[in-house]
Amino acid sequence: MQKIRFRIKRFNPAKDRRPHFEDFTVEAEPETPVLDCLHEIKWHQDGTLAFRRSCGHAICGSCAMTINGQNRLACQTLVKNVGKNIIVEPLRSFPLEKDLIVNLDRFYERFYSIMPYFVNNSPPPDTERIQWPEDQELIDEAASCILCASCTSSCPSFWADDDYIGPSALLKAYRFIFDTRDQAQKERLALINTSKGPWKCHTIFNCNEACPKDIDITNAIARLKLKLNDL
Amino acid sequence: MSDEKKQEHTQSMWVRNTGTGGSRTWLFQRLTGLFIVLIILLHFGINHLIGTGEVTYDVVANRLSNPLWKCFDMAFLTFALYHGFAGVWVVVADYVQTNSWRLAIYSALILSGILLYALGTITILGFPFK
Amino acid sequence: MVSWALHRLSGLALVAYLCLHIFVIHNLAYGPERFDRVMELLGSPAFKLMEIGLLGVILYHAFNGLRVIIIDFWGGTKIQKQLFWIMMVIAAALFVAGAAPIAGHLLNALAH
Repeated sequence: MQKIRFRIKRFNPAKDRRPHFEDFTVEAEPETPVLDCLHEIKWHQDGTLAFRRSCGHAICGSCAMTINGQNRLACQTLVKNVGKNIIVEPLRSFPLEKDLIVNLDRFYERFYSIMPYFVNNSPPPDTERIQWPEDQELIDEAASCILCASCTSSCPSFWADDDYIGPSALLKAYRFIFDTRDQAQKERLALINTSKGPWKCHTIFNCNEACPKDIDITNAIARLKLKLNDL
Repeated sequence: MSDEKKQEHTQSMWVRNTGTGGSRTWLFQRLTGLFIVLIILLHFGINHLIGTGEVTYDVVANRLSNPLWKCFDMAFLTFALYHGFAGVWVVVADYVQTNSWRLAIYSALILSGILLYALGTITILGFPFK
Repeated sequence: MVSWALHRLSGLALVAYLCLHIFVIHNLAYGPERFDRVMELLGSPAFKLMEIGLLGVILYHAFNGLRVIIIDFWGGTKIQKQLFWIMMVIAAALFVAGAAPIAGHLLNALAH
């Protein structure tokens, strides 16, 4: 066990005009997830600390936050990954609700805008719709996105203009556009092809570095750009 | 999307590229970029590695008397100005979110772009001037 | 992110340079005396030094731009950092090759 110092950004909309940092100390093993440390604080030190979490196993995407400057899942990040002085902040560029909780309305609005569902109007076969492994390989990574918003929140284009559809929604668009069984390719391409679409991606790679699932998001957006140019 | 947001989007439609949504701007930026790299390597090699890097009226006059050099310089001017101003355009699109400011800056960009292109064209094609 | 930020800044600097360059070269229209006078001013050591700086900015923008083009058209996102350093090594080599003659002329001019 070692002492870990936490600096957590706090904001109570009922009391505070702007966010401020508060310090906490937690005893933890090197293998303790940051999320467990936050629980320790909430359950034994300050019950007012607010943050989102659900599964605790890097599959629900609820506990994305900025840990030592990088967007990560608190449940997947171990103390030994980030050191003994840990700064925890809410995700950048989204409206702050309370402490580590941000408003993700805009994020989901973008997500819904690209028709995030499978479209195939041909009558279903007796078994499943067959797909070749090499076709599945195209979208395997993209389909493993857990919608944690780490990528969109890390993108400088989104910092500058939150009308930008963002890497997450573009990745989801890629996941369906490059799905050989999907039939709404044209509609989806038309939906993203605006001045707030992939043209606002400047190949900065922050999304790739932020993604807790190591998805090659920049590459997916690059493929969309070529597709939109009929290349 | 809320009605208010939809309206906001429609209002900002004029900054959207019609038809291609910006795909061609993106493609041209890369194509002109490639051309400029080739041209600039030639330009630098000829002026500074083969030549002495000295620029006098006579040196330039000698070069511009050759129609091939005029074509080369016109291509350079066209690609570089386009690439540069399209780049600034994209930066403005990122950081200037107020429509009135954007309109003002875009107008200034178009105007200065045309003026600079005219000035450059006069220099290259109008030579010799007497 | 740093590569992108530098790409933007160098790009803006190059646009500013391009505008100045077009104005300066337009002095050709006013005859040999005026053009040579302007060029003599621009041939001074301070401007020669800035010219070396210009070469560096151009090479950075050009080779980082080539890296972006490679990534856009052929992929390479997984090795983008290695690609960056490969490009920077090529750019640095060209910088030395290009800056040497300018620096040589500069030293010659200073010696006289």
